[in-house]
Amino acid sequence: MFSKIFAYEIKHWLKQPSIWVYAAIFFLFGFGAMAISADILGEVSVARGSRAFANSSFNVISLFFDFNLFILFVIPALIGGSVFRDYNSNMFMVLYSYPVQRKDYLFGKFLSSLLVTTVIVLLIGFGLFIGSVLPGLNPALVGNNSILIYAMPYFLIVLPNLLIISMIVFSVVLHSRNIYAGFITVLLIYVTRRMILFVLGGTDNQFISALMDPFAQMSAFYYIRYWTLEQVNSLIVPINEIIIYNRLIWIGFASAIFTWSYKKFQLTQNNTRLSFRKSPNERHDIKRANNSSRSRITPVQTSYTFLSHLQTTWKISHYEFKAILKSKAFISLFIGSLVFMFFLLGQVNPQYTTRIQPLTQVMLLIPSMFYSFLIVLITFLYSGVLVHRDRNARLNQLVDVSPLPTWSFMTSRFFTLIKMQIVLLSVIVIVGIGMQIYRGYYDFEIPLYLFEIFGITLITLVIWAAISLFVQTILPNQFIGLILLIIFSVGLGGLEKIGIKLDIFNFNAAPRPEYSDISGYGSSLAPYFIHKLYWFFFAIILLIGSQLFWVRGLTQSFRERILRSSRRFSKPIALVFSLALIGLVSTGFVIYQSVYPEKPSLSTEELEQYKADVEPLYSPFKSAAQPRLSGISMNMNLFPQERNYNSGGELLFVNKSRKSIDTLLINYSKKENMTYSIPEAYEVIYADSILGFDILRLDIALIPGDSIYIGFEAFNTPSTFFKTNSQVTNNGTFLFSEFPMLGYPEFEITNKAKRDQYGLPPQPQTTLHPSDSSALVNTYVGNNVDLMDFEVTVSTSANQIAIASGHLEEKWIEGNRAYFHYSSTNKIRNGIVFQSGEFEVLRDTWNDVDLEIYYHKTHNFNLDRMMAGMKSTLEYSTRYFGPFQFKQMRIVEFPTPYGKFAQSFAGLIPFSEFAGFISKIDTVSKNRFDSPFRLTSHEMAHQWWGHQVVPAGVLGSRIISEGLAEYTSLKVLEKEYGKEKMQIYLKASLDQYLRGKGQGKNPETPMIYSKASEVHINYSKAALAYYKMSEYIGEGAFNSALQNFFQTFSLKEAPYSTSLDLVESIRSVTPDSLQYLITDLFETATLYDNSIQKTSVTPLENGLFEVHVDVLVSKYRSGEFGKRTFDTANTEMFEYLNGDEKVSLTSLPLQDYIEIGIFGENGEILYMKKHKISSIQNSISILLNKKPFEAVIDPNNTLIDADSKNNRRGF
Amino acid sequence: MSNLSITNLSKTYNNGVKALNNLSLEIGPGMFGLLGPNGAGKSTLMRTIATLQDSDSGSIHFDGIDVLKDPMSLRKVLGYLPQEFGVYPKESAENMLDYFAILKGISSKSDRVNIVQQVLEITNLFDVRKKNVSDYSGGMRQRFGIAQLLLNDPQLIIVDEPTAGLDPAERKRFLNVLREVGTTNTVIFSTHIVDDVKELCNNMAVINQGEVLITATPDQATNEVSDKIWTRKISHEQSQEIEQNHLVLSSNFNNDNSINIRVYSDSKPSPDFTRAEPKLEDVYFIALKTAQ
Repeated sequence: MFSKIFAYEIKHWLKQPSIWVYAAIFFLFGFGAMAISADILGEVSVARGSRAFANSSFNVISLFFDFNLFILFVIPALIGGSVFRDYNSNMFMVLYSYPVQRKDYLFGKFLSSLLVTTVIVLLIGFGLFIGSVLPGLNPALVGNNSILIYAMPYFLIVLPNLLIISMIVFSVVLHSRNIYAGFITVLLIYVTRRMILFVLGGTDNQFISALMDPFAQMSAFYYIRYWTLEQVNSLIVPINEIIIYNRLIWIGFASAIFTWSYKKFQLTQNNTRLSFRKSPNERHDIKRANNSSRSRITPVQTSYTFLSHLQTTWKISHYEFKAILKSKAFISLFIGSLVFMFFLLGQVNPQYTTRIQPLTQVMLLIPSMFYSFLIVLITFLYSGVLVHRDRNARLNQLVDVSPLPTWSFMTSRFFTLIKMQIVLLSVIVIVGIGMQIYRGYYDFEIPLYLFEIFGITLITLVIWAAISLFVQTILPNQFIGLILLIIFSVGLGGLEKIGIKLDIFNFNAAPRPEYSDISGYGSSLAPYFIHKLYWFFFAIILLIGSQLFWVRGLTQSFRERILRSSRRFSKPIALVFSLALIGLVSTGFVIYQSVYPEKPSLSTEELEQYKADVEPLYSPFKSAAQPRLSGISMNMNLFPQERNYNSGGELLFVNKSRKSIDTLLINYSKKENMTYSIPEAYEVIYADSILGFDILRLDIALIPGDSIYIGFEAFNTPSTFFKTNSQVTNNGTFLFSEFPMLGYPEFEITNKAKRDQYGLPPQPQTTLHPSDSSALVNTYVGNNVDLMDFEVTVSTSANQIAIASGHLEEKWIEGNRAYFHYSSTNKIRNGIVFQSGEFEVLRDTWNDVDLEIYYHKTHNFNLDRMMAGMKSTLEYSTRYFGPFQFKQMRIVEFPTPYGKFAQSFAGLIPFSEFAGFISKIDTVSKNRFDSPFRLTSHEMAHQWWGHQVVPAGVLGSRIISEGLAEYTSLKVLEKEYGKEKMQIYLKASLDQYLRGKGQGKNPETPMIYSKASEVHINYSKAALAYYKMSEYIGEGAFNSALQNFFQTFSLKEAPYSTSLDLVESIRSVTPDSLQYLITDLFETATLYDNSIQKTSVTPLENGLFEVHVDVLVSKYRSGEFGKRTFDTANTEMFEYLNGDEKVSLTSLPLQDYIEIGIFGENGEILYMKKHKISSIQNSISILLNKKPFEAVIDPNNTLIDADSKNNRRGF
Repeated sequence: MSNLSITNLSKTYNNGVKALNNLSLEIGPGMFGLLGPNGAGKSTLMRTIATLQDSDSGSIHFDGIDVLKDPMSLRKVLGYLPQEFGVYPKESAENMLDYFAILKGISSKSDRVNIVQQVLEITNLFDVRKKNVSDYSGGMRQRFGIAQLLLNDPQLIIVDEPTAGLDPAERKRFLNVLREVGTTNTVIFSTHIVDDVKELCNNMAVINQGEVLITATPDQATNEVSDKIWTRKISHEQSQEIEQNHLVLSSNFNNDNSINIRVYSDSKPSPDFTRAEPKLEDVYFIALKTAQ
């Protein structure tokens, strides 16, 4: 019997057109994704440098995760559809009466549909493979194909996932007799997974996340997240135990549900009821036919006006809406959303170890992306439900003959969808406010909630409702409609990749309004609403389309529907259509004209050609010495309401070379309408208005030591209603000032292939080596600029305070303008910024330095931490490195649209509201960061590292500016919180380093040659290395090296400092036995592979405990492509058995000091000592007076070990 | 008066089935029975009149309304009960009727309450108005179907095979209800059960393969064949021979396994036959069989 049912089912499926559509979609998916991934569309490829192979195992498995959502939504349609079909057609009444066994029926249904789904899903892999052997791919992105590359993801991920979800969905549909319950289940699984990962988010829980992720994405990437490019391109994603456990857990879970439902299922006609209500199955009948009743009914008033149709439409939608609200499916969805939102908002910001204050803007920010997408998915699903509702209930013939215009049916569905969206959106408000109350925050800002959710988010959803209604109306199969809509919505994200960049060509796209407590929505609303108006007109056209093709009556073919639609295109509809079309075109025109007003005079290709043409002309000037900027005196006028500025002033340039200079290379910004003026007589050699670059010859050359003033004026193209053309905002402006600069401009084409194509000679390396002494004349912040005098008058509207670097000499009000005159007592480093806003000010002093924090009035949560951060850093740095150079230090808050960072300028730290101001410091939990303090101390330390010691613009510069700022910050933290707390900060740095390294495309650079872009080295690795050095040679010794270095270079001009100078300084204080550290940490990229192999403990009679710990230590250089290399033949090798597997370890020669820690049951330190390790295998014996719990090698994470999990072992 | 006139209506489906073949029919007020076997085109005809389907050619007029050109006007005066219909789950009859009343353009809430109560009373469903329609028995559900079509006080009522699958008591009750509502309107009633027509209709047509075979009142039709129906008791073995030589209208088995047959013939076919009282059923079978 089983085989008959199975065969019958398969035959049935093969006859369904939908199957073939799914098959085609999935094949095309794989095919397209692979082809695009391998640059079949061309162009972009060359510029990107080396990338992972498109058909590498890593990339293929990633692509499968991208497809996951689509696979997910096919399952209910097919697996759920297999049983639902019998219910829906009432076939079950017949079927169940046959002598069919439960086993045969259920397994026949389940396995046949699972087989069909599996085949469809396998087509993705087939598509991927075909995509990888196409002609026209970028050969640099295609590696060797092997069957394993495609089979492994199926084996580990896709097929188990399919089985798990299928079992659950099958069970749900079997018992609910409702296929939509299957879809809702899938949605809930999708959301639950998000929730699991969210709750377990953060680096510490990666192992548990990997174990618990129902889709095994975290598990698959758990072992390969740090893979280097070479590994990515050469290795197959391995089977590992986490994946196996994960799969076992979830298959077990799903099987339990499946078994339960199997046992519960009876081949009877009554539904299994989960409620305890009596089934209303008794027969209601009337006592007798009533023959005396009236045959004629009293007529009532009917009304068929447009207005009454509109009312009817509303009433129908209300009726449908109530039905949705009452349905179990929607109730579970609603509860699911509440729970999800509760976790989302309750866990605010889990990926960082800092919480954020539950401000309304924060409550609104967090759910926006994922939750809106979820509502869009639900809209897709319910648009299908609503469009097909009457047909599914077989009520359509009754409804279709009612005297109601077709638009009324269509519009009522549209209204219903919107009402449903409103209900789902209100979850944000409910949980948001609930969470604020729970956290004891009572400033609810209801208008902000309502505006953001119903004024901004809802519009987008409404437009989605229109398109999903349209698609579901056109297509006969709502499940295919659902999949196509999901693909469409996800695929929109990829439009930009294939060159469609303008929002007016990207469905429902608009610049997202950005809210900040400081600037409100600023000027971001107008462009948003004009885009949404444009898309709303588009939505109306879609709705008209839905109305024309709405299925009414028993239409047969698509041809007939087209005939009907042309008949329905009545005059009023034609009128609405024309109006919408006019609206669409005119708003589109407005957007095109006012929101994207800049039309480049040259196309990208033309500009490239131009650059190639002028390079030979300009390149002879490349090495021309230029006068150097040594002073700025300027004024800056900010107009916050108009979002404009203008500025002007004088720049002092000095000829600090040994030769006369008669040629000036002037760069100016065209965008800022910049003009310059030179009082001396000159002639123009080249005037390049395209690049904004002029070459002048002075009539009288500047002799060495001579100076020249260059005047300038700049203003932005005035901002309009739709378009802001400056960095000025209504409140909280943060503006980088621009002015003309001297020197050879950066315009040359850098891409090697492109240079060949244009016949340009190869470029020398752009960033110079620290050993190149000619490169030390310029700092890392720009050419032809030294420390300089600075003086400015800045004006803003009268209600705001304007801030710049320097000491506030004077302020005054003139009319409705406020003026501030700043001048710096000391020379400052280049980087001129202006801030302006309605600020509160917190003032304090440290010795004779004025400390000020300018903040938005409600953001007063962490001011004391930031103030403490400034003071402690001043304390530490003046004690160990050198004096602070200014009389004042300011932190000034700026709104989030500018970013979420803080940056140090001369005596001034612009600080994002999101970077510390609204952090919530958890004083209870031990794993929490004090992030405002940490960030403040880092930026504060830049006043020494970066502003007093300004490194030269060569490789390795950032390990001085960023690396030493990080080190200083760690030390300040250590002073503030004690050594025990340092582990979490060091661990975070190690994780950041390893993650950054994993993404590194090129061989790992030694620290001293790190590039500016290698953030994981400049910040994280440098912090670890310096901290380790200070641990090994002592804080005092290490800081004395830094002090020497500081004093040599502080506030000096060229030659500027390099990483080599710093390392020399450190070397000179390092004892011989530890000199290896200099090589390992700074001059090479050296990693350890340490582990504890064995631990044992023997209680002795005298109450002591004898502890044995076997540790393996090996170290290697991180060579090209992350390979383990050994730059000496003098290596040591060791082999041991791990289970049955023979493992061989190779190590560089060891003479290393490595810390071993033994901890008690409550984490207390029983033993902590550095051991000298001189071979790979080591046995350590220790006597303790307490029972040990765990042994850890390098407990403070000061060594760099890619896998620190095996560094600890219990007893 | 409300006359429905159907002129030269044709419809061929995509699969080549000719459902309506140049069909013309005049239907006046009162109950009009549409008889025909399964697949005769009854449902296609009724759905076309009910504006659910397009025809390939021909026209339908009702009371000055060109139905095919202006379906909306017809829908205002139409009551339609399809052959088969479902309902939304978990909705009471009262709620569902209220919903249909909205659809039919009754905008005032009190009007709706009023009319819903009336139609519930007419169809004898008032006592069970709070029960879910999905839990109704077949007969109750059909009466509910009548209730919903009455909401707009229709002038043209179309009911498609409403008695199929009802037990005798339910069928009787249903026909009573239909008779009451049909006295003043034009009611088209399709069925393949001849007795329904006999009991109910004052006019009828027999159609098959999309063509009208006869139109008449039931009495007229029966009268026309009086003296032409003959019956005889035969054995099972004889049946084949008899069927070859005579136009056999129907045959019924007796307890002794013999068969009573009815035959249509202008004169007595053979001495074994005796004259039989004509029945409407005979007319129906004559029409079908002579048309072949």
